[in-house]
Amino acid sequence: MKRGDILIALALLALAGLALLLRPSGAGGVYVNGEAVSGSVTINEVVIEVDGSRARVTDSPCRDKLCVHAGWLDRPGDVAVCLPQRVIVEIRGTARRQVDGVAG
Amino acid sequence: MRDKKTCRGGIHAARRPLTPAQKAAHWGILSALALALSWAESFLAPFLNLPMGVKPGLSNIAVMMACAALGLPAGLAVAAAKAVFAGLTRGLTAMLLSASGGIVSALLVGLLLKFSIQHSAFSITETGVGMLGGAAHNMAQLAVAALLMGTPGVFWAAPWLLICGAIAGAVTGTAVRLIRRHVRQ
Amino acid sequence: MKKRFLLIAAAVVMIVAALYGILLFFQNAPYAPKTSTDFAMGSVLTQTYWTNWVSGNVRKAIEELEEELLSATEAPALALEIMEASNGAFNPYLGALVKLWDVDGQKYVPTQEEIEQALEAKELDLGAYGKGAACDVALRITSYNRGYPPVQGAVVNFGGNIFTYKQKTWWQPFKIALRDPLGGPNDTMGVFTLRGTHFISTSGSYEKYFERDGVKYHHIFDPETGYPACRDPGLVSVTVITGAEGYEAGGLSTGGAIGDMVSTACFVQGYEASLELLAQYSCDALFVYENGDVRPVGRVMEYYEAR
Repeated sequence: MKRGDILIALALLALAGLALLLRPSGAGGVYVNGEAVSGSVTINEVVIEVDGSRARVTDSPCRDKLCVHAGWLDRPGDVAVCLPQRVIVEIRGTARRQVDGVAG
Repeated sequence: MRDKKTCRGGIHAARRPLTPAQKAAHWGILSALALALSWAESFLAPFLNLPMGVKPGLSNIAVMMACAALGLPAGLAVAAAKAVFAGLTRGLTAMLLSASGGIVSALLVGLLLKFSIQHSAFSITETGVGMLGGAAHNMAQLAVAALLMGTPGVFWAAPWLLICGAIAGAVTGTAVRLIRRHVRQ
Repeated sequence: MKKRFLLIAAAVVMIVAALYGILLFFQNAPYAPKTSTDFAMGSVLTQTYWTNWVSGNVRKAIEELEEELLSATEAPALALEIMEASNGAFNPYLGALVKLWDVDGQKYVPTQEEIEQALEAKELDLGAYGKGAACDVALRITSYNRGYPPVQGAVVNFGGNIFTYKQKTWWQPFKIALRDPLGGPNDTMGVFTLRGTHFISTSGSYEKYFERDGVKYHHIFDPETGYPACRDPGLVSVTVITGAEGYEAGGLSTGGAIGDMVSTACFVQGYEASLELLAQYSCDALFVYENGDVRPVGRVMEYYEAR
C-alpha cells in the first residue's frame, strides 16, 4: 500500500463524512395521493394549499370537512384525509421518522 | 531492484501482451464472474434497503478486473454486458443503474491504470485505483437514481455506499496487484 | 517498519469507518422502505414494507376479504365466542343500529322504538371486526413468501388498526405512536416500542361522533341499551395490543380480529368488567379517560411510554 492509496482512502472517508453532514434531510415534501406536489393543487374538488413543505386543505365538498379541520400539516407524518373524495394529503420527510405509525 | 530505467512504465511495466487464447479465457471468466456476482447481489440487495435498486458494487469487481487484465475497452464491454443482463432480468431502471455504475467505474479504473504511471508523484497502486473505481461506481448509480426519481433524496445512502464501494474496490485492487506481482515473477 | 504501521493504521481506520457507516446506515434505514397508501373497506390503508412486492397483494386480499365478509350471513365463530365471553358487550349484529344512528352520515337520534326494532333485526355489522380481520390477512400474505424475497419487517396501518411484522432492522424496534383522544388528528400521547408481530386496535368515542342539543353521541353502541356506550363514564378510548403466538406462516391468524372485537367490548364494558376478558385472550390494554387518566392492563407499560 503506497502513500497515494492512503491519501485516496482518507479522501474518500472525508467525502463520506461530508456526505453524512450534507444528507438530504429536513421537511421533505407534500404528497397528495402518493405524488409529490410543490404548489397548491385541487384534486377531486378538494382544494389543497401548499406552502413549501406545509400544506392544508382549504376547501372540500365533503360533508364532515374533517380534512379542512385538520388545519396545517407541517411535520413529517402529518396526514389529512378526505375519504368521500378519496384524497390523502401527507407530509413525508426524508429525515429519520419519529414513529413508524400512529394507532388509534 | 528500484532501477528507474527498467521500472519506467510503472504498473503496466511487466505485462506481456496476452495471446488470443488467453484473452478469450479472461473474457470467459470475467463475464461469468460479472453475471454471477450480479445475481448474488440481487439476493443481497433486499436486505440492504438501498434506494431503488442501487447495487452495493459486488459485480463491479468483474468490471475493474477486466480493465486491469484486458484494458479499458474490455472493461467497458463487460460493464455493458452486465447492464444488458440487468436490463433483461430486472428491467429498465436496473439497466440504467448498472450501466452508469459500470461505465463510470470502468472509465475511471481503465484510464487511471493506464496513465497513473506518468504521474507517479502520487505513487498509487491498484488498490487505490480500485477504491476510486468502487466509490465512483456507487456514486454514479446514486446520481442516476436521483435523476430518475427527480429528487436528491437518494443521497441519504451516500456515506454508506462510498465506504462500501471503496472497500469492495480496495479488495479488487489489491487482488489485481497481488496477481500482477506474481505475473511479474 | 513505519510503512507497516501506516498500513495497519489505514486498515484500522477504514474498518472503523466501515463499521460506523454500517451503524449509521441501519439507523437511518427507515427512509428506504416502500410505503403505499390506498383506500380499502372504506378506510385508508397505509403499508410500509422493507421489501416492495407485498402491498398490492395485501390490498387485493383485503378487497377479497371485504367481499367475503359482506356476503356472510352469519357472524364468524370467533365473533360469537367473544360476544359470549364479553357477556354481550361485543355484539356483531348491530348492523341495523349502526345504520339507524348513521353517526358519520345523517346523524340521527332514534326513538326507543326504532332502537328496539334495530336490535331485533340482528343485522351483521362488518365494521365490528372487518379491519382487524384485514390485519390478519395482511399477516398471512406478508409471511407467505414463496418465490419472493422474505419480508424483513412491515408496518400496516389500516384506519388506525396497526399490524407490525417481525422487525424494522436488526436492532430497531417499531415505534408506534398512540393518537391522543383529547387532541387533534395529528396529536399523539405516547409511543409503543414493539418488536415482533403485533396487532394494535383502538376503540374510541373520539373517532366518530356528533353533537345534538348539547349531548355527544359517539359510534360505539351498547347492545343492551342501543345508545352509545357509557357504562364507564369518562372513558374515551381503549387500545388493545395482541400478539400472534402460535402462528404459522401463511395461515390465518386471529390476533387482529380479536384485538378489534375485544377493544370494542372493553370500551362498552369499561375497565373493571374488561379485566377478565383481556386476560382470557392474553391481551394488553390501555384505557384512556377524559380527565387524562391512563389505566394499563397486562404488560403494556413495559413497552409504552407516555409523552
